[in-house]
Amino acid sequence: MLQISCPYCGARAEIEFRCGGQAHLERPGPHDQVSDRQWAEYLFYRDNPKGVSLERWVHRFGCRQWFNVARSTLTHEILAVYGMGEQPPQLEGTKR
Amino acid sequence: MSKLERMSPLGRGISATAYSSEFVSLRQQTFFGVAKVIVRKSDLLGSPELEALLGVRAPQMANTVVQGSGVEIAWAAPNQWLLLGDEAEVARICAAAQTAFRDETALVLQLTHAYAVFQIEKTGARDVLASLCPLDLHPRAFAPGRCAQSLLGDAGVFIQQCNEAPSFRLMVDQTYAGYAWRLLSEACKSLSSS
Amino acid sequence: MSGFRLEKGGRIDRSRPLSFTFEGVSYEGYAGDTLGSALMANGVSMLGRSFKYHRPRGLLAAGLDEPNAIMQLEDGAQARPNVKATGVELYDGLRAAPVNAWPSLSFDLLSVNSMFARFIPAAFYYKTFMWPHWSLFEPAIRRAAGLGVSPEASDEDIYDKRYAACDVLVVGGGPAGLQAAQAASRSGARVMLVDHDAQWGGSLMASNRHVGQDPADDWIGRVVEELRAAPETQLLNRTLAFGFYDHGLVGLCERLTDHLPLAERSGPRLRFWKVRAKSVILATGAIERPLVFPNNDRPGVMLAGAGATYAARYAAAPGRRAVFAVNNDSGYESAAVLRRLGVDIAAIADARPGLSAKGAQMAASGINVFTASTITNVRGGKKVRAAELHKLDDDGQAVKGSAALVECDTVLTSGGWSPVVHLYSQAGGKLRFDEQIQAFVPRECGQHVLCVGAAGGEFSLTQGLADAARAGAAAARDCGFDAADIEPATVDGEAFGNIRPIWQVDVSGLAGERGKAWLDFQNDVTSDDVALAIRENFKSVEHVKRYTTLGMASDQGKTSNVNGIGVMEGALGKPMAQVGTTTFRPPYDPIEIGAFAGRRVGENIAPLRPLAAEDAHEMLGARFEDYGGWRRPAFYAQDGEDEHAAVRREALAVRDGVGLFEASPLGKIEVAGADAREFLNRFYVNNMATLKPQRCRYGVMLDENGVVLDDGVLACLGPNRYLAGTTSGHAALIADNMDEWLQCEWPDLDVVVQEVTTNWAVMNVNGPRARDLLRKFDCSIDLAAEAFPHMHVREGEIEGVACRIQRVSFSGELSYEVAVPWGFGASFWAALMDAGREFGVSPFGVETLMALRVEKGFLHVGADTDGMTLPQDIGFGGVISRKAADFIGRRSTMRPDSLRDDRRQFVGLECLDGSAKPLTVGAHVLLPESAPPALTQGWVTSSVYSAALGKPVALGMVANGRERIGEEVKIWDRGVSRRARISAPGAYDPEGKRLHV
Repeated sequence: MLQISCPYCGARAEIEFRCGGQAHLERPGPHDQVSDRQWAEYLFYRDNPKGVSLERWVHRFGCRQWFNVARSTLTHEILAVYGMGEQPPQLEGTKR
Repeated sequence: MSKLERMSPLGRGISATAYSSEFVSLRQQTFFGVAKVIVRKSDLLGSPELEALLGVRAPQMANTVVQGSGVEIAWAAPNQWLLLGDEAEVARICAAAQTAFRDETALVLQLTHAYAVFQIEKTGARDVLASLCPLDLHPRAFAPGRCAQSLLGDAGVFIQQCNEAPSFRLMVDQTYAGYAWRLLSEACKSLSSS
Repeated sequence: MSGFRLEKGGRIDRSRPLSFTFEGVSYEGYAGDTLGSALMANGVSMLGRSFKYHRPRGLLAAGLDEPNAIMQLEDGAQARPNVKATGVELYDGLRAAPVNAWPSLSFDLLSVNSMFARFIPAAFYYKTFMWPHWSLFEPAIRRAAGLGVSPEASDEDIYDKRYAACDVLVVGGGPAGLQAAQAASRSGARVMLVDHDAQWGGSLMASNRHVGQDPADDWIGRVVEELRAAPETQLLNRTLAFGFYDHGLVGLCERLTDHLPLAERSGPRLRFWKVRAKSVILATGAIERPLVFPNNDRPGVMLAGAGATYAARYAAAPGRRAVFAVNNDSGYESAAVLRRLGVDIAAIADARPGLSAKGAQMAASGINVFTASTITNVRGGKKVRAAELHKLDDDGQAVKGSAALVECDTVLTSGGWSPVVHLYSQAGGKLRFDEQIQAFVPRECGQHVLCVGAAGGEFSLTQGLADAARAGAAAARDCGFDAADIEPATVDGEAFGNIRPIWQVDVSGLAGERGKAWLDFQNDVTSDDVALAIRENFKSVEHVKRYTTLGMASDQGKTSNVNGIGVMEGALGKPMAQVGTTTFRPPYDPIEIGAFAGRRVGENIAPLRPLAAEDAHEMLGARFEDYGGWRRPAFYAQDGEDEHAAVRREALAVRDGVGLFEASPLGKIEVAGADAREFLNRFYVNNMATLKPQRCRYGVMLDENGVVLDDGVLACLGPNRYLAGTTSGHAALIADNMDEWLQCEWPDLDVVVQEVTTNWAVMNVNGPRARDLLRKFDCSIDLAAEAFPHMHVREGEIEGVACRIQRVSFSGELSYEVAVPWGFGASFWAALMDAGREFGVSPFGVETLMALRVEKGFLHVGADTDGMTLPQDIGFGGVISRKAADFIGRRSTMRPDSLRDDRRQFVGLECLDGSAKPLTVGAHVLLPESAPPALTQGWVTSSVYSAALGKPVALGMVANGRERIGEEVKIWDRGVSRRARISAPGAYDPEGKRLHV
């Protein structure tokens, strides 16, 4: 069970959170200007890094705020926590 | 007079609504006023009208509670606060805040009926809570004036430390009142027997 | 029967005798005994039969590394299968039985297996019982091979749970753990010290050592007392740290009552701790390795250190005359302990060529020490009679003609020690092979964890204590405490020396059949099995493990893994460092599932949420069901009615008069702000931009895949203020989704959202007399048809209480959903029932509501739709085409697959066979002439008997169904076919006249 630092509430147990999957996905739109390929990329194609994974989490049973997490898929170490809309910090092994 | 009567969340199915032993006491606090204020722009809460109404500026520091005039104001999320206290007082402030925020993007909602409120006290209170909640409530990590939202078993909970005795206020969704009561009272009994 | 009770000594309380039974026979032990030591003291040397060959087995170890002495304790609800006798504290009245012997230990019918041992090599079962299928043979084989018996009675015990946080967690209460905890504790840090044993002191308990000038016991007592007095330090004995997880989380299992007689137990039995530690110090010691030689599994062959522990700690001697076989100095210390306590040491065979200082000391005191020698066989079946010793040549092969036969009743071996690195490894720590001690030791770990003492590969106690003291202080400093270094204790005597690795005694040069040499005693894996696996090309340590089951028993190979890797080294010709270890996984020792379940049992698993008027529903005869996590009436049975009769009666009452339904679980989400309209328009398929204040609109929500996720009524309460209604099970989900979209995707939208579902109880007054009933109440809202039309919402007061009324209908009748603050819900229900008596009001349940909506052809998301249903499939194609703006999932409704013209569409199905029996939900829709098996055209999704229409009605999803209205189809259900016709959904009041009254 991870310990995740909510940017607002501080370090809390993983069971208070929910993972929302890969961060920094850009929703293409409007709908009538999006190709099938673009839409499929947005919906289904995900990074599967051995190393730093950028993902978004919500403090579901806390302040209900969403934020981004940079987490190592090898060690589960959380390397950074940053707000929604913010760019990921420079980390070794981060896919740009 | 209304022909409608008011019932507390533990009104159904639970025979006892208080537990007390040498180490811990637990009781339901009925008809405790709760309201939620959500604003889009945080400076709204700093408005002179509202500060006059609350008697204090709403806390900006996460997971803290301040005592206003008549109600306590607890941080719930960025730009979200809970107003806690006497039901009528909470209702009065709510009505005034609704008027004050009429033209703003804000929600001022009385949620008194949505919550079951419990008070747990004495030296064993922390151990009972630690059997159900992942928060670290050790005095070095939590103190009077602090609050947090977390889990009590599988239900969401708002926890506030009221004094150093210690005494904690717990608020769960009222539909989990029976569940929370079972868990808390069983944990109290386990504490007393081991 | 070779074991016996020593006349004095030990840490047992001879003033507290305890009686217990084993295999039905009564014995006596003392407080402080384990079940294992008490059996040894009573001379019971055979404690079990082995897993595969049913060979007699006795104690090998004295701790959790024990592979053989697996017991079934007690019976009924108290039964505990598969516990280690060495881990069970003796209590008065304890009843134990062996797990793998039938009909009895001494006469086990299945021991014939051992006569065919050569025919049951690794993977024998899988290779042999392949045809026609393994599963045919498995039950019989499992019976023959199984362990204990599952309790049949349900578990009555209570299991507690505790979350904890600390600065420094020290695992292991032996010398290094005590020293580390002391150093950390003095800084004022929050320290936890845990040990699975009831007593503190670890290896010192069975030693004759001095710490500083004092006997070890004095030092243990002083440190424990100091730690107990420290306000922020917590000591947990009988507590096993069984798992090391992410971010400093360590799982502990505290045994609260297992050591007490059954009658004296109360309160929780186990407590599962989830400890989040900033820093962890592992002082988990080391496990001695047995030597691997023919018949090394005979009862009476034990680990040397275990023999000393039994004698010194429990005053239970493993025998009267012992032969030792060692390859390092630690065995000499064990021999010295036993000798001091009166056990005759017949001989010591030391594999090393020269005499070590310890060996020389021992030889000088008159003990027969054979150098460059080892044990090559054990004589005796159910107990040891003699040991065969041979000289070893320089290659480690036993030399023919060098035999010595030494009579003895116990053989004690030491093949070196393996640090207990399990938790370290679980934490993600990497290991390296240490040539000096011939074992895997900690190398590096990403988590804040350090192994000290023997767990760190440091077998010198004095050095281990110095390391531990330093580590304790450093850990506290890491957590921000001003920890001074403390003066570590020193311990007399060193006992390891160098080691000559003998992973398997090579007897190939000796004459005669000698039998197998065991690696894994519990799973009956021999060195030959490993060799066979390698010959069959299983060369990875993980593959050998799974093929042979080496290390896969409940002891997880604590005594066998390193020996197995050593045997692999020889067979593969590759150094142990490269062979590597298998993965260490929690739990370190088996933990009862109950500990993990905790209080999440019975009604506390996924607790159902009650309705506001639950008591009233109960009184009215409601049959409750779980609907989306809510405990709701399915129907109200009167006078022994069955479900069909009750639903029929309730449905007619609604159609003909008025019914009352508690709809409190309906999701309610307040949405406000200048951009609320824009936000909701993006959230719903429907055009919500045109919704005016005081109006309601039915809407459908999709996920981004275009799949119908939920539906409900959106009410506009005023400018920029809305109440979004969701289905009962989806309120939290939709509120979560709204938060996610607002925070992650559209943070610029000026909107705030709050779920308020449980603040409001909702009573649905439904039927042509609904208005008449509500008019009995003092209500500030004008209910007149023209003042308050269908699909409108009003806020006001009823009987002086705030209320919100929506005129919406899921039945097709005049219907009001009246919301009042939840605490008034029960009283409001009662008042409605009371006032409704003159109109013949009938309460109705969820099943009746479903029947009413099926008659009307109203969709129920999740019943009529599935994970592939798009909005155009349920008739929303027109709504979409008239809406210009994007909304969640819209692009997915435009994919080629979404635009296929043969998609299944929502339609009605009319029975043509005249039967009153409803169609079966899930039955296939086929072409009339098709003979099953045939390609399905769709299926029945909802089906009821309509009391109002006097016939069955059904809904379904049928390929291109809307184009096929009027077409006859075959409804096929498991061999039974019925005739039906595709129709528009909604057989009852298709024009909707009854809604607008």
